[in-house]
Amino acid sequence: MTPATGTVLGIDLGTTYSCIARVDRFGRPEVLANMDGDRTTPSVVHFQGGDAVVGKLAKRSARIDPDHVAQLVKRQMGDADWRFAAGGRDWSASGVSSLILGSLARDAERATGEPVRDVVITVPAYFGNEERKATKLAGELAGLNVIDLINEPTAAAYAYGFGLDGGDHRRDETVLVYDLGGGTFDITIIELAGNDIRVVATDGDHELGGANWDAELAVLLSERFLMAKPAAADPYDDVYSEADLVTQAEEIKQSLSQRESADALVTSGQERASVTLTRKEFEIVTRSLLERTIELTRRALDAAATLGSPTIDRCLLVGGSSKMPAVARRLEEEFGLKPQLADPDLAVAKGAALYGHKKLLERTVKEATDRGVDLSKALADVAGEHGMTSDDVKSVVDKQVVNVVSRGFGVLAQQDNVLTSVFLVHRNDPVPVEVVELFYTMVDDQSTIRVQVIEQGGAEESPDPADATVLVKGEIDDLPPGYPKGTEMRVRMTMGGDGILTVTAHHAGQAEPLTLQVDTGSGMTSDEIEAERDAISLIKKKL
Amino acid sequence: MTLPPFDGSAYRQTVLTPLRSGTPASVDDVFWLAHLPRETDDVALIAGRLKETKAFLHKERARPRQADVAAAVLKEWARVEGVLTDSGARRSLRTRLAGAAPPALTDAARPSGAPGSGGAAPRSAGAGDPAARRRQQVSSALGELARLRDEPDLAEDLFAFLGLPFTSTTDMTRARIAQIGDVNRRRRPDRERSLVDELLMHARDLLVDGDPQAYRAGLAGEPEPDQPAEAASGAEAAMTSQPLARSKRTRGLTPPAPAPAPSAAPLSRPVSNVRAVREPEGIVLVTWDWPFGVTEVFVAVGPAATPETTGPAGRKITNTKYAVDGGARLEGVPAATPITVHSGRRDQGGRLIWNAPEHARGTMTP
Repeated sequence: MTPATGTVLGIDLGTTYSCIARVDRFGRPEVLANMDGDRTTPSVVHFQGGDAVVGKLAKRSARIDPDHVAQLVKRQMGDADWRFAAGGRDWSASGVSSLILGSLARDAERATGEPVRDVVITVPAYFGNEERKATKLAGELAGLNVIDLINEPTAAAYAYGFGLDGGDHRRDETVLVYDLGGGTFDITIIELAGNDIRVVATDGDHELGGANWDAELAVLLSERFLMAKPAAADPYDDVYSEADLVTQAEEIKQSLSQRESADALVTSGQERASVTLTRKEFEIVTRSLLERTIELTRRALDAAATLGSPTIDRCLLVGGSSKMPAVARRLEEEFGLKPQLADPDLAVAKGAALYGHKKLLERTVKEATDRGVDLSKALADVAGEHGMTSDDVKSVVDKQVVNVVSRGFGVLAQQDNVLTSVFLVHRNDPVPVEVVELFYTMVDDQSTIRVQVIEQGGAEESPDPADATVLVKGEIDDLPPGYPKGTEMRVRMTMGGDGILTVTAHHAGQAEPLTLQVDTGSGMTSDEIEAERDAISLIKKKL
Repeated sequence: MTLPPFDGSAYRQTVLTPLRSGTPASVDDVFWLAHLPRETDDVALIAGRLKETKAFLHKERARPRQADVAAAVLKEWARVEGVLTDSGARRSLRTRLAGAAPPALTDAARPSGAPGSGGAAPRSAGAGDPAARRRQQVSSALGELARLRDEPDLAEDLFAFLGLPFTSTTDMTRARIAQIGDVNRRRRPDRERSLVDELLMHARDLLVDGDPQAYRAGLAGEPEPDQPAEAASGAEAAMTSQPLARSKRTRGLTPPAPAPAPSAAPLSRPVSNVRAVREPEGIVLVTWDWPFGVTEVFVAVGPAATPETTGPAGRKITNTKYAVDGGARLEGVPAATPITVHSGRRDQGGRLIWNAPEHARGTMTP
């Protein structure tokens, strides 16, 4: 990643809403309002010919021009095949997301009067390598310098522990972060100890978020409508009626978070009917969704207990959908927790901004000390540049985030004549991590060895290669003869704090080991990326 | 000749909605799947419509009601494009379809219900009664999973999903839920994994924590194919005219002729997601998802090919060979040739036994 300069902004690129934050001159995180004066922007893009509109207006357009409105795109991140056809071209998930990021950056520039370049973008803890690469690419396509990606629950804990109310947290504690966003669910157990944030265990589901609650509610609305108007056409058969229905469902869900009942006017063709839904009905039809989050929470708690953190001191609710009253109630019923809403719509962006600020100060201090400047002078210089005290700078720089691996990594190997996934690095292993394991040749005089580095696909390790993603492949070839079957090959797998995975494979017949690094490129070809970059720059010129 | 503008709502009503009661893989009329009049022969018009329809299907994947059916049609898209962009294949298909009505429903026959409900539920079936609503949610999820896996029998009920007899004890059910849950957590996160998680929640609620007898009774009270519910009767009658097959005990639809019953349970888990792509050199690259435990498959090329076939009409592929080649690479295969992949397993004597043809999974070459 390119070194940061100036200010680093934090961006919560959400499935349904996004927001951007910075650290103000007092060291406090501040979410910047968009052009509409809102602090969150719908992650929705409306393509109009060669133009693109992002945010509230785009969301409204979903009711009148649904075929040209891209929503919930974050769920498609990392899917190399997904494309959204609009404005005469096919957009990748990174391309659509870059328009959202670009819009946030422009709003921030208007709000602060300063150019936005360096950013930290948040991702679900459960995102794999492909999704992270696609997110980083989205930032780059938007013309931003993505200095780091940070997991959403970690960002929320960072904001809670080091930033909310302008002060550091006062005591060491173990925190459960229940993050139910618009499209994804993450559950993370984090230890806050002194200046450190240590992630203990993480779990989640990419396909589970507030949008699922909206979908169930929309079905219920359509059923009620059809009960009232038996002769009417099903609203789901018409793209416009459906868009209207889904929008109303989201509004009703928000309303039912505060009231016991809510009304909607459902239309289909020439027919319309007023439908009343109660919170109880809503909770009944969405019960299985909520129970899935409870089950994942139970698993994460079990994993944390196994890893030495059996007690939860605090439960933070993050993500707009965690405001549903049933969430806190079930967490209390099931686990005896007293959940607290932790700035659920904004905490993630604030945490990202704080983390970005820390990265900026850290790098500036390090560059100075690398040049031979005394540490105390470096701290004082940086403090002067940022209007802080040396102690404040030291405190920020000293904060450490110790992350865990959210999915296991390994290699494909023959085991009992079956190609099998063998994991060397396991989920919830703290990073940095280094593992060495021995493998063996399969035949005498084996001349070639193929090394395929994999990432665990599911929440648990599976020996089935179909459940894993091959990240990088390499071959050791031209091995000299004379080595019998069963000759050792030493595979070393390391992952640094920067998340970069390096694998070396060494056979005695080689002078130099094969070294593979999981790149931070993209699933798209360079031609595709360039074409998308051109299309985005055309849109930017019109904005 | 010009085509009318692509109409997403019409495509939903005439193609996606009927497809909820079957599988696109069984639809021969790819003109219908592409929303293209059969007489169209202008290459540019065909290419334009294929692009429009494909783009629409991608958008439908993000819409809860349509996502699974759209994904199922997209799985067939290589076949659709293969036939429609080849003049000979188009001509041959027109001849085959001559006189046959497109497999569409009349407006009156349009089924309704929850997303992915397979058109099974009567309109507003669960709107008033929470238990009926829950059954409808389960039915919807089962139907979607059955379509995703192309295993129609899954759609019957939670016991079929769990692979348990209807009379299972609570302990058996509990153990099975835990077992499936563990396996599912190893899968990569996708819609199928989410559906399985959701169904396991329902299974725990209804069959372990709840009263399994009540669930059984609820199933018994549902309309059987020969006892259509009053509100669904219109759909029942009209659906008999369209060629999509369903498994037994699935509500709402009666196919014109019963789907051929499998001669026996598959000996090994079938592969899934078979895809064929023609590469620039003319080689056809066939790929599929390997079920766990299967290490050898037979790729049969052509309608008559079977696992016993040798030579260019078929080939055995091991998972190692597959991993090395990135799939099965076939030469000299004409467009629109059916390709089927049969899973195999070895018996105790090491003899390779292939699944019967009804358990093979296939596609058409582009």
